[in-house]
Amino acid sequence: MDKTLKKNILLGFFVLIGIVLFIAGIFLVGSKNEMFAKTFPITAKFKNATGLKSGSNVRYNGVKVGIVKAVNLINDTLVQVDMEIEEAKRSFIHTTAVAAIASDGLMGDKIVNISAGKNSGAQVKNNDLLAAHNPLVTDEVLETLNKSNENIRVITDNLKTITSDINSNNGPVQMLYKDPAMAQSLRQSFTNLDAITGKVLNVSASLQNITSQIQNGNGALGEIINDTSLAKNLAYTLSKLKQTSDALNTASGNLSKTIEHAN
Amino acid sequence: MATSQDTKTVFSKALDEFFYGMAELAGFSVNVFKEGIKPPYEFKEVLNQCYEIGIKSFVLVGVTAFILGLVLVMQSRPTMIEFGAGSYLPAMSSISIVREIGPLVTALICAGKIGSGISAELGSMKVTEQIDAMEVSGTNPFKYLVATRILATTLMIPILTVYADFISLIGALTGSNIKDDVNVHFYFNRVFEALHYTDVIPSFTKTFFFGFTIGLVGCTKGYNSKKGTEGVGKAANVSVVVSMVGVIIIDMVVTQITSMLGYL
Amino acid sequence: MDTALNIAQGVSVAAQPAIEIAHLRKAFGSNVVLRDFNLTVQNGENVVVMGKSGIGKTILIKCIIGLIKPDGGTLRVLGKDISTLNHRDLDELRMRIGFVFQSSALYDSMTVRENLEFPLRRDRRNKISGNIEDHVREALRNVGLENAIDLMPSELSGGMRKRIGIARGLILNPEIVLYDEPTTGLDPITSEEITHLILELQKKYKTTSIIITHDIDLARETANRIVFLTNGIAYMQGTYDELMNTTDPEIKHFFKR
Repeated sequence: MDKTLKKNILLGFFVLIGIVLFIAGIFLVGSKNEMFAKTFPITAKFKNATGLKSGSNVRYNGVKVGIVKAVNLINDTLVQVDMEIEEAKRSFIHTTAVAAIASDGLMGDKIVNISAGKNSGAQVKNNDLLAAHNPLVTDEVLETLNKSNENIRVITDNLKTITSDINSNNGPVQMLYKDPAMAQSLRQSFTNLDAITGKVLNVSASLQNITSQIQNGNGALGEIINDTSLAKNLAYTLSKLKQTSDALNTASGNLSKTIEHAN
Repeated sequence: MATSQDTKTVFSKALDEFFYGMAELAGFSVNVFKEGIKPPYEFKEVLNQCYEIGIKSFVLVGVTAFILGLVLVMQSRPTMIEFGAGSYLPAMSSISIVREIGPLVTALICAGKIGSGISAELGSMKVTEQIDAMEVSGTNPFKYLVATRILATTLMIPILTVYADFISLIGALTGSNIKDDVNVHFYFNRVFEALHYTDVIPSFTKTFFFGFTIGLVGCTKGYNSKKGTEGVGKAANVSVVVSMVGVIIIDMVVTQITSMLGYL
Repeated sequence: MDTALNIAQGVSVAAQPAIEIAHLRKAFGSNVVLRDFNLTVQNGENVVVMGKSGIGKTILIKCIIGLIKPDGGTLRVLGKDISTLNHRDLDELRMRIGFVFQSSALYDSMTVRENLEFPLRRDRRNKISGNIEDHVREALRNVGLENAIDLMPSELSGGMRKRIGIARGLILNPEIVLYDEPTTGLDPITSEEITHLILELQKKYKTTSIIITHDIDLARETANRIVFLTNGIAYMQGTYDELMNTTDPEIKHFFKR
């Protein structure tokens, strides 16, 4: 009897812990999915809701605020997405907010991301319709790519024309490219040019030589430039010359007066 | 049962046996409901069987679940990292554990351990006239032996599954911590964030069917086992095979129904 | 068919017989086990049913207690027609009948005490007043195994198991006891002990009994009347001496074994 009682106590403990674990799990799942928080409904209409399903997360500027409740087609171009937002987060969401469908992480599920609008507005009310930002869907991206492709095609066409011109026999480029006489004369020109350059080189080498000799004070010019005493003498000579010429000037003036008087 | 038709078969020997087994199971489950619903109820024996089935399988189920959780993470980690989805490991492991690994492993382990145990026990009780003795003592063996066991498996397999899920998640956490350093709080945060009711409820519901199947098959095969030790051994063997296949078929059907209801 | 004898036996006592079997029929597929079995057992009578192995003796007593449903014929036990009883009434009738199984049929998963408690706890009549423990101890004292109370069946010898089986069969003080080969598989000394035990208990509780056996010693010791079952009928009935001295070749052959 005692044994049976012990068994039953153990069994009761086992079952109780099992049930507690289960309920705890349920509550944890629920709290992570905000199943027990008070919510209010809002909607948004998208052109395309690929990957969005009921239970998908709704984030406001990246913070989880609710879940998608239902995704329904309402007409041929629009999908209505009903969302449940936590009551506690209501004050952050304004009527000007914009809903967009985005990806949660690199390979995550699709989510609805609500972001603040440009102008501030009133708080959202139940069943408000948020403006939807329709994101670049793959098709549009492909369309753009298609246009670029078209442009590239035109460019390559032009390139093709040019290259075919080059290839054609009577084109100017082709003459330059293929006429052997032209090539010969071009080569001759280059040879001459080469010779000229050689000569220019020689001239410049001689010039170099001369300038260096002048600098080193070799030769008459060098002496003139480099000898300081000579320069002094020269200055003295020049001043003497000036005096002489002045005297000469005075003498000539006197002479002229004398002549005038003589007249 | 020696009849003049003995040498002839309706379809083929194997097919006939299969259909006979199905009829046997169906008839048995009808009887279980018919007899089990009527009072008096064998509460004490249900508790006793719950103890035998639940607590005595706990260690085996727990160890297996832990190892499978650990191995799951260690095996999928390199690939997940390769795809740049290493941070999805907790979410991936929690969903696979709660949806599939926990319930299925518990059911298969219990099909092996409990299913064979039940049919061997009932088989030998039948062979040694213990079932007759019970009936003679004014006890309906269908109530006392069969209904109690089926009820016990139906109730205990779900509870064992809850344990298996948690232990397996802890195993997965351990597996994550061999190569990475994952904070327990962060891990369980990610685990429960990834789970939805649509993961938990269908997979929990199906464990009741698993439990019922294991109990029903074990009891049917044991109760109808042929005389002799060979018959008992064969009954245990067949019961394990049939209940395992049954569990997997139920798993498939439940998954299909769940996805039809749009919960996948 | 030689049915003259059992008709003569059946009408001789005025009081209601404990067991009345008339035209009992049971077949498994094409194998007819009981063809047209007739037997009347009076209150307080000890009837031994003999016959070759596999002839249907066990089937007979399992029909009496309602474990096997007969195909035809009537079966009245303690004044009640077995085939018309519902589950509940049948269970109540079974409480008044003790059944000692060939293999003892002790519950492997229970101790000797629990084995004996089982019928007591299952008894819906609540006839058993007083302590269950006392009843168990008394039943064990009757079979001389009081100290085996906390053993498991697997720890018992064959003879002990038989004794416990008898103790369990008798624990509800039944009016009728059906013994299915109580001495089969036992050594001669233990067989004799069991035989004496049966006689002793019969005297003590004044039960009616049907004993199925091939054990001639057991039959001689316990039988008021012996029924020889063959070909699905009560082939011959009489006292031990009558059957021993018969000129019928089949019975002669059986007893000269």
